[in-house]
Amino acid sequence: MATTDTFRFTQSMVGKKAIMAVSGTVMFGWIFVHMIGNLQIYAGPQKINDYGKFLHDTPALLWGSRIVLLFAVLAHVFSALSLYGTARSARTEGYRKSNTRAATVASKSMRYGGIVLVAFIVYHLAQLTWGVKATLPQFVFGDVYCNVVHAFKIWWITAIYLVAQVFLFLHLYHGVWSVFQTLGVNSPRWDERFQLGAKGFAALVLVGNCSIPVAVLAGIVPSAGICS
Amino acid sequence: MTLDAKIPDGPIEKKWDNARFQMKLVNPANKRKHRVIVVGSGLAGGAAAASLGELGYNVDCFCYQDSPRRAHSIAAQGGINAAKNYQNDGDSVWRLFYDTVKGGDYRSREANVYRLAQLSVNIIDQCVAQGVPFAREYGGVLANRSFGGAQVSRTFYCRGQTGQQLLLGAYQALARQIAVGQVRMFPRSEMLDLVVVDGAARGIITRDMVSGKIEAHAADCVLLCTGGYGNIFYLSTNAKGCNVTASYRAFKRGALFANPCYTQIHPTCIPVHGEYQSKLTLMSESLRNDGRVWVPKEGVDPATKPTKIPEEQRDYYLERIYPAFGNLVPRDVASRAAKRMCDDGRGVGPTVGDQPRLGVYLDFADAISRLGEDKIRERYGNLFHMYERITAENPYHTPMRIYPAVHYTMGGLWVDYQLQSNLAGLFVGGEANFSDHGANRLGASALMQGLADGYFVLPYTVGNYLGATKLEAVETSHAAFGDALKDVEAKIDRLLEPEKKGKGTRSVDDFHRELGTQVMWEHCGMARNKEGLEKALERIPELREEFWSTVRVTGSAGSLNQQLEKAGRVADFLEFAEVMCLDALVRAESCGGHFREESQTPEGEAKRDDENFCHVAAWEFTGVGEKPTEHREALEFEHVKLTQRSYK
Amino acid sequence: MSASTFKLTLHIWRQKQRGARGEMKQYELDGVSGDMSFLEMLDVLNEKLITEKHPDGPVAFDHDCREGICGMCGVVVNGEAHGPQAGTTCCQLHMRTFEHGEHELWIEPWRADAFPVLKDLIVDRTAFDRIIQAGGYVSVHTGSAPDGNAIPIGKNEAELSMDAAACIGCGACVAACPNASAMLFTSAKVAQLALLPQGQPERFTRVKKMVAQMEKEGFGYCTNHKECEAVCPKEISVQFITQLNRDLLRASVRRD
Ligand SMILES: Cc1cc2nc3c(=O)[nH]c(=O)nc-3n(C[C@H](O)[C@H](O)[C@H](O)COP(=O)(O)OP(=O)(O)OC[C@H]3O[C@@H](n4cnc5c(N)ncnc54)[C@H](O)[C@@H]3O)c2cc1C
Ligand code: HEM
Ligand code: FES
Repeated sequence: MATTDTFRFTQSMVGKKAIMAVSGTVMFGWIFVHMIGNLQIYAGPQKINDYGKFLHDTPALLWGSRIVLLFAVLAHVFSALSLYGTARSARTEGYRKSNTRAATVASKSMRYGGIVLVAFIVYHLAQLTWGVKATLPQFVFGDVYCNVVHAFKIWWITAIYLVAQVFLFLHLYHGVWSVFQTLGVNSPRWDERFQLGAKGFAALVLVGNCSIPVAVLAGIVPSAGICS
Repeated sequence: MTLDAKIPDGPIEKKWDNARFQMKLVNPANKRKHRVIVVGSGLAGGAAAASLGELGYNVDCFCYQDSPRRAHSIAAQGGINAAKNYQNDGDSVWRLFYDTVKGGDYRSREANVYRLAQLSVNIIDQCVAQGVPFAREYGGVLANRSFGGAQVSRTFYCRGQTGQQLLLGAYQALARQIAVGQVRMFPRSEMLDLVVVDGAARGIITRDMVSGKIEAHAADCVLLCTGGYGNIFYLSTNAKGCNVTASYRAFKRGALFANPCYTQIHPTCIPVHGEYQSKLTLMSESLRNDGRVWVPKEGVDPATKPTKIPEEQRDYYLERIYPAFGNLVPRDVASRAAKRMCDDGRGVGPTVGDQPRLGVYLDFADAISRLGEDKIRERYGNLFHMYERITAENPYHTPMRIYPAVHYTMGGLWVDYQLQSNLAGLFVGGEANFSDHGANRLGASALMQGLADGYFVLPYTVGNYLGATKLEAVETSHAAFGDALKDVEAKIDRLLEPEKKGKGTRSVDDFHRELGTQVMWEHCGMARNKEGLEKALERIPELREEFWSTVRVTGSAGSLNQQLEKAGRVADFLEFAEVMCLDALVRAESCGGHFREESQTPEGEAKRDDENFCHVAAWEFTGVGEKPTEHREALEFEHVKLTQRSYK
Repeated sequence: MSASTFKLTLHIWRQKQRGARGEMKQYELDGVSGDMSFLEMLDVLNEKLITEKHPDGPVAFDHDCREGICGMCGVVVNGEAHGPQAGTTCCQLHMRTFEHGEHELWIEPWRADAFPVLKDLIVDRTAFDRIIQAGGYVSVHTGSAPDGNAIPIGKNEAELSMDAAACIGCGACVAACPNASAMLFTSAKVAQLALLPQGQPERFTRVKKMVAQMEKEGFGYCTNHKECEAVCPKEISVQFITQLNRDLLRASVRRD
């Protein structure tokens, strides 16, 4: 029967990996939209604060995407943990001397990079969404523009964001291509294009996201007279 | 003892039909009451075990490798013959039959060969249905190539890995039967004895190669499909584990060994390059379709770089001596010619030890300039790659060096038309029997024989035996099992004894190397003479004596012990070598794969002696070191006329 | 042809039997020739350990055909399955590869819990057989086959199927995979049969059963590092893993 088969599939390693691919795709879709939204900072405080207000005024959209995202993150993290367990128990006695030939920095970073990303996501939410004072004393609800500016004026906060973005870059560099492989849509004809696409996408997100803290720190995003 | 081949009545093309019709059938409900032992999981054993399992028999299958998928059939590169005539080039069952009898130099049994040719067509169908990815034409039909000098294209192939793909087909069929419990598989289990009860084969003794446990297995009949014994020469194209042990121990229990001296020497192998060398690698015979064989003419320093030797100083000796067939003469002819060149001091390549240079050139320069390097790469790319990996020489730029090597053994346990040996209930299939190739095997016909035996002959004839014979129930508690078990254990203890007593000085490999390269290859190889064979027959018992008193086998019997495994096999080779040399001595004619120097034409070609040797020599064991008794089965040729082969 | 010889320091995993504790032991070996195969080098070492009555005894390692086709041999050399040369089993690897470079080698068995070590460098790979037994075949009885040409198969499909079928079942893919996954092995058989018309009737049940068995054996999952493809002596492509994933996904939503 198809439904029990589908359930069994989600319990298998291949199925769990597919769940990671689907939830990952949801997250990177969101990350892209999130980045486009954030880039509006270059259009000045009005534009980006209006965008924030629009989101809060459309609770269906905001909460809808929050729920989907929460689901995606949980599914992603739980699958990752479970699969990691399988991999660990598949080789309890390791090599005394090991070497790799094809694995990349990116493909090897997925697990610890993922942990970094969880930590970062919590920090990021605390700082700019929930407004936990300890992470950003000047936080004001609704003033997206100034919250961002205040944060990134501090060099080490910018540094944290940049480091996180590097991990995100690595995660996407391997992960976006990996999705096609995992979901069985890759083929030798398309493989190179998918790889290029993944690298391009990862680079785009890296540049786009990093540009904001860097621009703030470099004073390109105006703050004088706007944020006190 | 009179040898009755039990050839069925009727015209040759009806014999197999008649035989099948006369066979006793076992009713389906009774099949599951029978247990059958199959030793070997190669093409013959794997196919037989799977097919018998499908029929409902309980099958126990054994192999010495860690998986049935690794039997040495896997190494066959070239292809498998079948009289499909898909190419419309005049092939037929009759022609394949004719070619095989002629190729075997009139030393095989007509009725068996005819059946083989008939069944060849079913094999291809069966393998295709299993999902064997044979080469195809663009239109989707099966592709063929001509192979081993055949005048028609009847060879089916899967790139250079035909044996692998056919074996995996059989292995998968076997896996299916293992999954349903119809076959019990015993990998890493070596058969060390045959158990005979009341004159019938009823079981085997094995050693579990991981735990070292000696175990007894009982059944209603035993099938030996344990491959060839070419490894007796130490250097051969066989896998390191190939052995004569299973066949030889059956021989010691009364089974006759037929034509043991018939070995095939393959002309295109990579020459020896060092004393540490452990095996020889075959390069597919198809290379001779485009390569030209030559050696430097007399007077040219053989150490000269081949590319520096001008055309007029090269001797394309195959084209010179055999203008009609040229480089495509049969294996035996090509091999012998190469040996003659090297014996004349015209060989090329490095010298190893105090041997003369053993190699001749196989040159693709002409083919490359005619067809272009790309075409040659497309045809032989993987072979060239393999050659370069082994020798570090690039065959696109410098000629390959090749030399003949032991490749196949036509000799084997004697069987009748039903593939049953003189011992009731002992069936023998594949390379382990002697039946179909006479004194020389044509290329691409061993795979055919292995699968014909396994899929299409043994399942019938075993059923016939079980249906027609009243068998008492026999358990492993029977005294015969206990005795055989004790024999095996005693033999193992003896192998470990010299080392335990501090007298072990020489390694097993060292004995094997001497037996193979200095005794057997030297005196019982491609060319033989009375004097050499007598010398060998003197040396072998001495060497055997030395072996039993000084062999160093470390480790214990009760654990994974590769030295012990090897020692057991070499011990059997050391006894079997005598039977081989004796057979070679008695057969004072040149035929097929073996050249008896005393029997040659004025031009130095092989001269067969039909008057005195148109028979199968089947040897009966009489004791270690004792001269075995010879029995003869006369060969009658009704359909293929006896003629001296000529490839000029 | 290299006439000169060189000296090696070897660190080799020695383990008495299944479940016993093993350790790396060091041996010096002189007189190694570049023309030796890797296994011939081990033969020479063993010959030396035997004649010198070394207490460790000879090193046990699996091998049979020594021409790169049976899949019996396989050790990890300096962290690489079958050693550093691409597309090459260790029986076909020649010592000239090591002639110029580090003369110190670490030789270890395949390491995966599904492949328990039996002795020294020998592991138990019967898990692979059980994966094939779970469904890696076409269910056709001997004798029930139609004519070989009754089912036309395009040259390209036949070739691609052959690419997958070339697997020798050595286990290097598992050994090299950071997760000890058997996806390349399993997918090669799944794909070979899925690409051919003969394999269609059982295509989706086959993939489900084989993957289920693979998991049961305790292999890890695939993280798309492509290490398997890089060490595979037959250079089998990870595209077959994609095919397995696709077929398994399809199987899970199909009604049959
Ligand atoms: C390099 C090479 C290339 C070849 N190329 C071709 C070709 O292109 N075409 C062609 O037609 N033929 C070819 N041949 C010949 C052909 O491959 C073999 O003759 C044939 O495959 C033998 O099959 P088999 O089933 O009889 O034995 P094998 O495949 O050798 O199987 C023997 C089986 O017996 C088992 N066994 C052996 N001894 C014991 C024991 N004591 N206890 C337990 N089990 C045991 C082994 O484990 C194995 O499973 C080639 C041979 C070689 C060596
Ligand atoms: C929340 C913290 C995260 C953790 C712990 C995490 C962890 C992981 C892990 C362990 C993998 C598997 C790597 C592998 O199998 O090779 C993975 C894959 C992946 N992740 Fe994440 N990740 C996280 C966040 C993200 C985010 C934010 C995105 C999207 C932008 C994302 C997208 C992906 C994708 C697309 C894959 C590839 C799935 C596949 O191989 O098919 N992940 N992640
Ligand atoms: S020994 Fe057969 S593949 Fe290496």
